[in-house]
Amino acid sequence: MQMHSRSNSALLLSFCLILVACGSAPEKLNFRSEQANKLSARADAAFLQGEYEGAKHDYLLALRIHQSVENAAEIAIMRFNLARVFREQAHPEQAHLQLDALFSEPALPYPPATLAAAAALKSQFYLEGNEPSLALSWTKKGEGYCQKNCTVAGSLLLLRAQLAQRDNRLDEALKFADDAVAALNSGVQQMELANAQRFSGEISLDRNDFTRAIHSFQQALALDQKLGIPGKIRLDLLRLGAAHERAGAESTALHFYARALNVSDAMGSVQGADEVRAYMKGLQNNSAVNTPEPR
Amino acid sequence: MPTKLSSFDQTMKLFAAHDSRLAILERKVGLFALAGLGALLLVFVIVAIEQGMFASTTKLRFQTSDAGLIREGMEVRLSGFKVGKLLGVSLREDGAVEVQFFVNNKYLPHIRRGAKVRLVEQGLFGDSVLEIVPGSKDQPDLAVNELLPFERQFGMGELAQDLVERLKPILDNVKVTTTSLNEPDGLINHVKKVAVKIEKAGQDISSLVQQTQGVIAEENLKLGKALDQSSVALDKVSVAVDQAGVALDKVGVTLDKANTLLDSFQDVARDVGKVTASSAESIPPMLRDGQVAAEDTRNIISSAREAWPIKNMMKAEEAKILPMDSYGDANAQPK
Repeated sequence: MQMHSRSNSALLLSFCLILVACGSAPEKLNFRSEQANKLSARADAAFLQGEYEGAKHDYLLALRIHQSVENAAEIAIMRFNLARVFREQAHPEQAHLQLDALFSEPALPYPPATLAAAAALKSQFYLEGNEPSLALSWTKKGEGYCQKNCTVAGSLLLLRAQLAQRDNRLDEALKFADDAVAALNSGVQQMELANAQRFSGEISLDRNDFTRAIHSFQQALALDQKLGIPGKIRLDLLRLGAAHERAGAESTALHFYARALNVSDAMGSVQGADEVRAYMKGLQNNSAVNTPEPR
Repeated sequence: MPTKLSSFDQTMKLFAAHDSRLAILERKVGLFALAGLGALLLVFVIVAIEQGMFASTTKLRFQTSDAGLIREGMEVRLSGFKVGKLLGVSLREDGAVEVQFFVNNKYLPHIRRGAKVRLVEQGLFGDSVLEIVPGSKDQPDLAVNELLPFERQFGMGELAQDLVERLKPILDNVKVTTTSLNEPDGLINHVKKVAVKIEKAGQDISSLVQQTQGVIAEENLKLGKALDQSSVALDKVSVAVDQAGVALDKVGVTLDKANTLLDSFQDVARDVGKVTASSAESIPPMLRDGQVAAEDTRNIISSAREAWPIKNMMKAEEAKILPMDSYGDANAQPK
């Protein structure tokens, strides 16, 4: 009798599990949205491979499809992504136009998190365009959209840190950078976390805290190597070389510069390689000056 | 008269006399052997029935010039059903091959006078069978040993041969046409010559016109002389016009030749059309089958994608925001 009731319970449990499994299936999207999402996924892949023209084409197509069915959230994402593409293609005015469309009429109910990301991106563009006051206002705007646990909270803190560094408020900058490191998710925001670590290292270097700077650069290098971004790996190695040079460990500095040179050559970046060689030459000149003359 | 028994028989008799079980065993063995024989006989009877040995049949025959692919024992079919069997093939004195076959009487009402026998190859590597093409229903019944007309359906080899035979005249036509085009007095060279002549005549006319204009301009005052010269020039013009007329005649002849060539091209196109039409009968079904198979596969895959639990395992594509990268451009210059 007991066995019978146990098997009945197992059957009931299995039935419930099957029901839950069926119920958990995502709702099927309409054909247009599905098509636009496929284009968007293809554009993401193209962007990550550096094929910006292809990415732009697919994002624009996806944007048109989402606009035709008024998918507000997806429209905001496509415009943000297009702004990123235009930035990589060195068309800041086009990038601004895409983002401005999100903050002008007719405004659709865009998700606040995406608007916060768009505001952060605008702030970054103004910072890169040497317009710190506009950058600050857009950072503030982003913070307004960004509620607690907003995904771009770390990026907004990093922008604040950069603005403080520009005003030579190093302590404040370091604090913002550390807050950014704490706010960024080490799982899904590794690129931005590496940026924050690198920036924190630079502030530490400015404050002559070499040990901390080297530690931060090493953290950034580990993340960038994991992500496989040659340009950023080169930057981390260069910063590590500079930190060791400033700390007086010239041979170690030369080792990092040599690694940075190899990465530059492998990337095919002539300008990057020349820059590293200039660092190496500077290091060799300094060591020649500091070496005492033989008696 | 008493017979002398062997020592073994004497021993067995002694056993039988003393053991009654031996007698029962003998009876059992006898019964078993009888049952075995009965079963064997039954099997023979079943096989014979299967082979149609007891069926009532009618013997028929046909004649052919070639006994190739025809062999004793091959099946005779009607609308895909086995209705008989080939009995034998013999070569007659006049050189014709006579083939005897029988048809089960059960199916004979379907085969009327006017029916014919056809040798059919089953697929590319399949056996050959004799197929009966039944005659019209209003025809009288067949008589025993009646001679039926015979035909062979084309196999792959015959089809290829037929195709070659059909293509051969087309290729010959193309060859003749090409040769005729390329001959020294062929159409191409002729057209070239005519074109050169027309060009020359045009140049002559143009120079004459120029000369005439010059003469009129220079000798305006000397009207009589100019008139004489212009009459000479006009003569030359008329000669040139005559030349042009001759050239046009030649063009006419050339056009006639071109017409003839076009006719032969039309013949070639017609032949190609016939070959294409015969191919068109077999190719579309193959394409349709392939299309259906592909469609089925697509349906199966899409249905599987929609089915639980696969649909839960498939990651739904959704629009994603690119990761933020707000510091340290890959191409940034270090401080």
